[in-house]
Amino acid sequence: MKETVYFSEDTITAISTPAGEGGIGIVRMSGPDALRILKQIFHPYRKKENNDGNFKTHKMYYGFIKGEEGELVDEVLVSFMASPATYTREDIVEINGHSGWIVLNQILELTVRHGARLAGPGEFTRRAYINGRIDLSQAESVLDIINARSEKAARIAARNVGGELSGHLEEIKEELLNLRMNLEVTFDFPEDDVGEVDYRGLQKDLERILKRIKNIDEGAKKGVLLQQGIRLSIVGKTNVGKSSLLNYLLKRNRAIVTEVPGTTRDTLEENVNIDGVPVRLIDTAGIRKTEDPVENMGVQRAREALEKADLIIIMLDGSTGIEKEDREIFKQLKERDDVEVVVLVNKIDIKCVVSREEVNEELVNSTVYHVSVVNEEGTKEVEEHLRRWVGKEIYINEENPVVVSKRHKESLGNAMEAMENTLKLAEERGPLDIISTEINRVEEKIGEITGEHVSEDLLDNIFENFCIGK
Amino acid sequence: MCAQEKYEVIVVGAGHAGCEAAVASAKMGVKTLLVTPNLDHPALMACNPSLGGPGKAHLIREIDALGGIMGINGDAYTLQGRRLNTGKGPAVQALRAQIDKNSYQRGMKYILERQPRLYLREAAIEELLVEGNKIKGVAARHGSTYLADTVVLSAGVYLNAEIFVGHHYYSGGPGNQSASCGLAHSVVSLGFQSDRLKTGTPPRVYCSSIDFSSLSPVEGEINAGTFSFENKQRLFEQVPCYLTYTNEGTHELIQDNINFAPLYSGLIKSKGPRYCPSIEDKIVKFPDRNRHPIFIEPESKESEEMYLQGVSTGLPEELQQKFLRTVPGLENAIISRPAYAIEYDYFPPTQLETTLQTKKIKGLYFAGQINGTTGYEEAAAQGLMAGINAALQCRGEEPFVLDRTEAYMGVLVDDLTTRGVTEPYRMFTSRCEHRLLLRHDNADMRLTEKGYRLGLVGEERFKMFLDKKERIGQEKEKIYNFRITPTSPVNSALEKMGFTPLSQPQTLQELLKRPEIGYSELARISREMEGPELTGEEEVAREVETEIKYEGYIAKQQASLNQMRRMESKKIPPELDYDSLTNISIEARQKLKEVNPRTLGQASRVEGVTPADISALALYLERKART
Repeated sequence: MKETVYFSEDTITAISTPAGEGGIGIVRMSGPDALRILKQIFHPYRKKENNDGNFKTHKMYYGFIKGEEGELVDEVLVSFMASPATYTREDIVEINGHSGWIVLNQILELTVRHGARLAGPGEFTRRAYINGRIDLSQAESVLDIINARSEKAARIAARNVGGELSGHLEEIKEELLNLRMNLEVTFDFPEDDVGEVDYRGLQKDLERILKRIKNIDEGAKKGVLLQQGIRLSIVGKTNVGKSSLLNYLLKRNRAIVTEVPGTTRDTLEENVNIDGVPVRLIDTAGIRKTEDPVENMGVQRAREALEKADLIIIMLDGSTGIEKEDREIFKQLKERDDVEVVVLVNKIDIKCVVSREEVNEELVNSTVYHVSVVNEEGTKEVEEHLRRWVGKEIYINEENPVVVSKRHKESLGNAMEAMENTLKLAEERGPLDIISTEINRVEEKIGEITGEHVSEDLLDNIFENFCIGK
Repeated sequence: MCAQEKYEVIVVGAGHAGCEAAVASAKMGVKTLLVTPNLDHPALMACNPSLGGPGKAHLIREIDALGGIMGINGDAYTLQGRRLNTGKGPAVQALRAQIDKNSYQRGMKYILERQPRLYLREAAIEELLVEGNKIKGVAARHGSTYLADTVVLSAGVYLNAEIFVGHHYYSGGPGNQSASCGLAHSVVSLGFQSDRLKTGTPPRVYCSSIDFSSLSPVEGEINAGTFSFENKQRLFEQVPCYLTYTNEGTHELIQDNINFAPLYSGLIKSKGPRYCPSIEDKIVKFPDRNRHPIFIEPESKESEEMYLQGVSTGLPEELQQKFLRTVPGLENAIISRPAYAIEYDYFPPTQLETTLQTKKIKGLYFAGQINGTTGYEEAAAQGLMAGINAALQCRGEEPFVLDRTEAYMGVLVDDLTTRGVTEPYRMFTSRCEHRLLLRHDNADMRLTEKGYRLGLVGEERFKMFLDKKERIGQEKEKIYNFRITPTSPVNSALEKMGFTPLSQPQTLQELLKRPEIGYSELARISREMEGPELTGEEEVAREVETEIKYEGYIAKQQASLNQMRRMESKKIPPELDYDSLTNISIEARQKLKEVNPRTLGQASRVEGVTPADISALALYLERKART
C-alpha cells in the first residue's frame, strides 16, 4: 500500500523556525490532539490562571515544559489557537522555546512521544490549503519554496554521504523481501516443492538484519549532526576572549540566515558554516555555582552544552596564567574524555606565561594554540584545525552510513522496533503468517526513508525463484 | 418472426461465474435467464478436479457467507479434503478439496433447475444487442433474441479460443465445445479492447494403466472442515491422490524436443500464468532442478480417468506419451485425453467499474475468465458480484461493492479494475494486505449479514449465523470473567499439567495469550480450576482463540485498515477531467484517465501514480468541493 500521510486526521508537529538560525525557536503542532499534548507537557507558571487546563485561544501562557519524569526541559511561552481561526484551520499549539536547538528538539520529541507525528515537508501548508485557509496558488508557492529547500538539503546530504544510506537500505529491503518471499511461497504454494521454513534459520536471518539496521541507527547520530549542526562549545572564564573568538568565527563563516520576525537572538548561540557543515557555536559563559536562580538556569544550560558538545574549545588567558576558575573547568572536562578538546591560550599580544607543556599536564590529549584573537594572530591555524576536524567528524565509513533527517531517524527507529518485535515472535515460534506481515511492516518503514513502496515485487520474486505449479 | 422473450437479467455462459450470477440474481427476486451452448456441463471443471487452497478457499468461504453456491456444491462432492497451512498461522490456513468433477456438474445443474425465477436455455449467443450506450439483450445463433436491461457476460475461455497440440492448432474450447467467435466479435465491435492470454491443461490417463505400487499416496484428512458454513463435517471415505516425480530422463526428452512446444516454436505469443507453467516451461526456466512433482488426482468416482497435476503441456500427443513413460508409475500410462495449450480473448478489466459493469455500456457486466482471471473460485466470486449488481440495478437499488478491507472478493475486484492484468490473475493470500482480519474462518462474521440484507441468505441460515455469533460472544465472556488466583494448589496443578505457574492473578483470556496454551489446553485448565466448561465446538473455539491470541496484531491491522478506509471514503466524480490537472504527471494523468478510479484510495493504487500525484489530486478535489 502506498502511504497516505497527507490525509491522516492525526496531529502533526515540527520545529517551525529554520534550523540553526538562532537560540529561539517554535515547536508547532496542528491537529485534533494538539491541545491534549500541550496539557500533558506544559506546566503553567501561574497555576491558578489555567489549572483547569482551559487555555484561552490566541493568548500566550508562560511556564515550563517538563519531561516524562517531571524533569525541566525548558522555560517557554505557549499559545493555543482554536480551530478554525488558525493557519491550518485546525487546532494549533505553538511552543516558544528559549534555549536553543537541542532543547527545541527535546520538546519536539516530547510531542511525538505523546502522540503527534513529525510533519512531512510542507504538511502544515497542505493542511492549510485543504481546509480552505489559503488558495491553491498560495499553497503552491509555499510548497515550491519548501521543495526547493529540501532539494538543496538533499543535494548537500548526497554530497556528504555519497548516497551510502539509500544503498544500505536498499540492501536491507532486499534481504527482508527475500526472507518474506521464502515464507509467502510456503503459504500460497503449500503443496509445491518449495521447502519448509525453519525457525532457527529465520531467527538468524532476522538477527543479522536487525544488526544492520542498528548500525545505521548508530550512524544516525552523525546524520543528526549534519542536519542540526555540530555543537562546538567555547568555555572559559569571564573576559578571556570568548566573545571575540565568536565574533571572529562569525565574521569569517557567517551562515546565511533570515531573521525570524518578532524573535530576539539568544546571545549564547551563534551559527557558522564550515565547509558546508553547520556548526553551532555555544558560548557557555562561566561554569560556577551561584545562588541566583536565573543565573543558575544559565549555568545548568552551560553544563548541558558541555556535556553534549561535539568539540570543546577552552580559552585560557595567557597573560594571567592558569587560575582556579580554569581548573574548575578542567575538572568538568575530565568527565568528557570522549570529546576532542582544543585549548587556546589567548592574549599573547599582552603576555604569555602559559606553555603548551603546562596545559598538557592538565589536559593530556588536548591540542594547544597560542593566539591573539583581537589581533587575529594564530587564528588561521585554529580555523584550519576546525576545518580538518569538521571533515573528520562527518566522515562516514561503510558500516555506519548516515541518516540525514529527523524524519528518517524516526522511521528508522520504527523499523528497528518492528524488527525487534518480529524477532521476538520468531523466538517464541509465533505464527509464520504474522511474522511475514511484520517483516512487511519493517519494509514499509524503510520504504518511508527511501521513498519507495514495497510489496508489489513479492510475487515477481516468488515466480523468479521458485518453480511453482503443483 | 423469431421468438422474443423478456427477462430482467440474462447471464451468458454457465461456467463457475455464470452459475453464481444467475442463482444470485434469481434469489434476489429477479427474473433471470441463463443461456449456455451445452446444458449438460454447467460449472465444468475444465482443468484440475479440485477447489480451494490458500486465497482460493478464502474466496469460496466468502461466496458461501454471502449466500452463493460454490461451497455447498463443493462440499457435496468432495472426494478428499485437507486443511493446508495449519502450522503457519491463522491467516493462511485454508481448505483444499479434490472434487468429483462429474457429480459437481450434475449437482450444479440440479441447483440451477430448482431455483425459482431462473430459466435455463441451451443456446449459443452470437451477439449483444445494444441501443445507444445501453444493453438491450442478446441474439442467439439459432435466430432467437432474448431481451433484458442487464446482461452478465461470463463466456469463460471460449472467446476466439484456439487449442494447440504441438504444431497443430484449431478453433475450439475445453470439453470439445466450439469457440465463440461471433460473440467475441460482437463485444469488440462495441468498442471494447481485447487481448490474448494463454493457459493449458495436462493429459488425463486411465487409472488402470497406472502402477501405484511405487507411488506414495497423499491421504485426505477427516477433520479438514467444509467450504460452506452451512455444512457440518461429514464422514466419508477419503479418496487418496498419488505423488510421483519427473526425472532427468523426462527433462532430457522434453529439452530435445522443445521446438515442438507451441510456446517455444513461436506459435503462441501471449502470456501464460507464471504460477501454473507447463512442464516445458519449468524445465527451461529451472534447469537446475532434477525433478518436478506430479500429483495424480481422481477426476470422478464414476470414472477411470486421472488428472496429472503438474505436467500441463503443449507438446504433441506422441511426445506426451513418451515423456510419461519416463515417470515412475506412469511407464504404461494410457492417455484418455491429450494435454493442450489454449489461447483465448479477454477484455482488460480496467474497462470495468468496481460493480463489474462495463464503463461503456450501461447494464452490461463482465465476469470470470473473460476479465483475465484464472481459477474456478476467482470466476465464481466475480459471477456472484456481477449477478448481485445486475439484480440491484433491476430493482433500482444502490450497487453493492466490497472493498479491499472487507473481503478477498474486494481485493480481487479492486486489483482487476484498478491495475488490470498482465497474466491470468489468480488469488494469493499475499495479495491481501489485511489478511489477518480477512480469515477463512470469519468470512461469515464479515459477510453473512450483508448477504441477508441483499436477500441472498435465507432466514434459516441467518438464524444459524446469529446463534453462532452469540455462542462466540458467550464463550468470550466466560474466559474474560474467570480469574485464577495463584494459590499454591493452583500453581502446583498448573505445573503438574506442564504449564508455568502464575505469579499474579490471571483470567483465562490472559492465559490464552501464552504461546504454549491453545484452546484445548485452556479448557483443561478451566476444568481443573473448577472454572466454566469451555466449548468443544471447533469453529467457535478457533474464532475465540484467534481473536484473543493475536489481539495485538489484529489491532495493528485494524489501524492500517481504518487508514485505508479513510482514503476509500474520498470520492472522485466520474466526470473528472484529468487533462486539466496540470500538477499531475502526464503519465499518471494518462493512467488515471484509463482507470477512472472512484475513490482517492483506488487512485493511489493505480500503477505509475505517485503520492505527489495523489496530493495534487486531493487538493484539486477539495477545491472543487468548495466552489
